[in-house]
Amino acid sequence: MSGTFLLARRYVWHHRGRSLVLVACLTLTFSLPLGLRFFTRHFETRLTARAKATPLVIGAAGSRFDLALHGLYFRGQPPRERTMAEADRISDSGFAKAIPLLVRFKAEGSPIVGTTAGYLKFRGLRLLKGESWSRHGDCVLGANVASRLQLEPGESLMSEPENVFDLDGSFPLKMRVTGVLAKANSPDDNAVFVEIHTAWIIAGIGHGHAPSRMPASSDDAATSSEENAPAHDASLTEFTEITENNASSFHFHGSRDQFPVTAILAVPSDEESETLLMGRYLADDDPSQVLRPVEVIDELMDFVMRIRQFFELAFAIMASVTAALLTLFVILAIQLRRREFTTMFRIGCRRFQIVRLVGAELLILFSISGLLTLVVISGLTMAVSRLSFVG
Amino acid sequence: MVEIDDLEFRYESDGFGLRISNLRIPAGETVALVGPSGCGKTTLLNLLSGIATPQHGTVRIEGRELTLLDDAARRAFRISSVGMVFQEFELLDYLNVEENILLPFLLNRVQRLASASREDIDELAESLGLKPLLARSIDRLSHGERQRVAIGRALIANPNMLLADEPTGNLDHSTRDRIVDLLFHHTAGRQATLVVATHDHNLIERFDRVIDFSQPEQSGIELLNSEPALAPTSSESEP
Repeated sequence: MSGTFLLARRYVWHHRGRSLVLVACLTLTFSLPLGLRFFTRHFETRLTARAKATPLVIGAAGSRFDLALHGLYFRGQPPRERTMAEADRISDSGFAKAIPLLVRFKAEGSPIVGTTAGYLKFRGLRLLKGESWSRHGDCVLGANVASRLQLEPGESLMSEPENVFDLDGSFPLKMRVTGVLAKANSPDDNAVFVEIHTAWIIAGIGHGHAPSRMPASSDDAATSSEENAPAHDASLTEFTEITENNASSFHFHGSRDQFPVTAILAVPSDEESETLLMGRYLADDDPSQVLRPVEVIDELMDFVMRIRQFFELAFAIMASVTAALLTLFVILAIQLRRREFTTMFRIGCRRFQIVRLVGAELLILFSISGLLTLVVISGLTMAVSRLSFVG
Repeated sequence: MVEIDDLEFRYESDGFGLRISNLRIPAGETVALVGPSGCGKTTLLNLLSGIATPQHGTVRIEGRELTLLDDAARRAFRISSVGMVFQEFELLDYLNVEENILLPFLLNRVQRLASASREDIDELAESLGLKPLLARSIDRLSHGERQRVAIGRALIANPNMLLADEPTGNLDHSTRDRIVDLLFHHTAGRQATLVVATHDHNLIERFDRVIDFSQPEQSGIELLNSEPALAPTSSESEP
């Protein structure tokens, strides 16, 4: 180590209280704008990547942001639901492959995504453990959900009632976990996937009946229309769990066309198909809307960037104030150390050497601040990667 | 040998200065500079160390003409040939004893003298009674120990000339005697010239020679613009 750096290091350490305050100020000054920039860039990248991977989202007319966030991130609810008929129409048109989503319920705080097997394929989600759903009531967990709830295939998970005060509302369903997805670093990690029929059962559209029973006595037989024929109980039984025994009794009332979906992901076969499909939703009074998620997210990011610019201006002012205070601090410190520098000069030190000494002290402080800034940004990176909003 | 001829030096700020027609200090001689505050003792020390440069005349030390040297050469001369002891010792409180002694070399990498080997440092510290304290912080030293560190710093480059500016100011008798003993002991052992500016008339009989600034006829040193500043210790040459 050169003499200059030894002296500088000793000075910084000897006045460590003062140095600590300076390092804290510098670290904050570096970290805040860098952190903000990193944070917004990270969100932009993640948001845009998800949006780019989703060509079209179709749902009820209304807020484009709500529909985009719902279709991409399972956040919020569109103002109204659409029906399976719309998904079928899209598929039947040949313009695009339609993937219906019904995201209305939750299990242990995670959204239950009712969809088709096509969704898992479309997102490139692969199973880490177990297998996909095979019957009503099965579910596949996103990686974070499985990790958070410590669930493995073979265990079960209960859906949450929509409203605990609504006695007429849907019953919670005890779902069988059949598989766990590999981590995808996306909102899919935080979701519980069920086949859309299971979501409809949770919604109360599908239900089962009590199993048929054989007459046990002559009295029972007398009530039968045919001797020895099984008696069917027409009373509705709300099951909280679908098992091998009751699975066959489950059925749905009404037309499948009218069953609800909250959004439809449309994957056009080509650009022309996409344009033609979008053309179908141009009417002002159309109860549905189609949107390109990437455009909506770009709009959202424009807004975020404007806010970021405001913060950056504030940070620039703060950095200027810090720089001015640091300059003042250095000037005052030099004045206070005048005797020390005079002594150095008298025993043979160059004036430039004194400048180097002060420069080395500042370099040490800036270096420590720079390292701390890296630590802060790294911590932020880890924290952000754990945030659930964008997975 | 110090040789000063036809020297004239004035501070630009107030015009105060010195005129020395002829001054010779043989090598190994001990010299006391006495006189009231502001009479030019420190100025003469600055001229001898090359910190101040005269407007006229010559200062020749060991055959080297200081007035002809550039800044870098004068600094090199100061580090290698001149040891300085200050009244308040001026030690750096953020360095330990060893680092304070080695300060001239820490500040000048180019001037890191081969002579300042580990053995030299140990020997010097031993002779000053500082060896067990080398790693100790300056804050934890007694006044006497600090004095010895200041002397160690002045002697580390094995200088030909030791300059001390009021090294015994504000000290009690026993401490004063001890520090003067140390200065004499270490300069005598190295055949170095010792020049001490002092107010203390009790000390002067120990020196080979006394230059009294209040008696220009005797000393050959004339004060210029002699309504002197109280203590002209800061010259334009200082930072």
